[in-house]
Amino acid sequence: MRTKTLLIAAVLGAAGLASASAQVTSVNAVGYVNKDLAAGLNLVSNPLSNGGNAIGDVIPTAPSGSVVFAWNGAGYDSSQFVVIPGVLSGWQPADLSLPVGDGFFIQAAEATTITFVGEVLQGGDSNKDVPAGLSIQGSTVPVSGTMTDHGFPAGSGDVVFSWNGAGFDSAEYVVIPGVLEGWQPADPTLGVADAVFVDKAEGGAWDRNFSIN
Amino acid sequence: MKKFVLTALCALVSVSAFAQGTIQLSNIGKGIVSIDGAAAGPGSATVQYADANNNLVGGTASILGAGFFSGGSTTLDGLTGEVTLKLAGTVDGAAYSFSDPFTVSLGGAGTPPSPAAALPGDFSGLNISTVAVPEPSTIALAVLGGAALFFRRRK
Repeated sequence: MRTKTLLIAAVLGAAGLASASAQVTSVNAVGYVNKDLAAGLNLVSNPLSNGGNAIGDVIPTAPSGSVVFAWNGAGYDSSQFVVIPGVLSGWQPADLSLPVGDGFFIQAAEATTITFVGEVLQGGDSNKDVPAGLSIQGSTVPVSGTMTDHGFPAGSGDVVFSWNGAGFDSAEYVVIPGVLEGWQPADPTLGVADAVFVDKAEGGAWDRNFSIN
Repeated sequence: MKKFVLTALCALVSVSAFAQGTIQLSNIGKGIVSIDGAAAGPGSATVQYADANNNLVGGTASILGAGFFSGGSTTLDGLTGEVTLKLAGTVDGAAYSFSDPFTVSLGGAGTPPSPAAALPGDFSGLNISTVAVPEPSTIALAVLGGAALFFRRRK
């Protein structure tokens, strides 16, 4: 996987109000992430915030016939990128939302690279809740690491399913008091714009409080 | 023992009642839908899947244009795993035409559930015929009627 992250133009509103009593600064980091997709199913997540994060904002274009499957807690909501020359070109339906850090399957009609463009979430905006039961989770910030590196709120009995291109590899968070506590057989890796299926025994808060400073 | 068998049967019935697979209702990049040999235009036909016995299953989609449709994923109640399906199409609710059968492994299986399946890459398309073809029984009645008239004249 080749992931290229470029954070550009960090300062949009570095408003230098130099007064004797107050100074207000606002730093927004915007950039893009290129994500290589294999033909067929890929489990990815949106790493950057773009407007309302509607599917057309998050993934402006894809090979015709590609399908996004977003988990709704019980099954999948899907949207297909349709190109019919002279008739239409875009996602059908177009109202599917892909919030930052939420994972989804994308079935690429052919190998391709998609580009996420948007703003890096920081502070409280980079925090989220992970529900009990099945969900697809990705990092709310474009950073690579293990689930432990990401500060995932793991609990006993949680299972992570990583997509290997053909099926799932699983790891369970095991707690045996006085013996061991951790992911077995290994701490799953979550790359930039990657996602994993999580079966969580109990819901929890995944607080990143991320800062680019 | 009787109680156990009854319980097992009930469990089996309830499992099969909830059995359902998913498939995308789309032919983008695959064989197109045509009407009497010409690519179907926007809204000109409605399509849905049918089982091997031509029983219609799942939701419907309308043609977007140039013989293509994209109606999201649909759930096929009572069907799971690898199944034989056909694509069925109709114009204005008239008699359905059916594609050649194809085999597909439906989505929705496993934990976590697999996403909806897709039409096979070699799906050859569907031609909807709007030319009425008489039922064999209708043809037989016409032949009998003709024969009766013939013999009556001869008498």
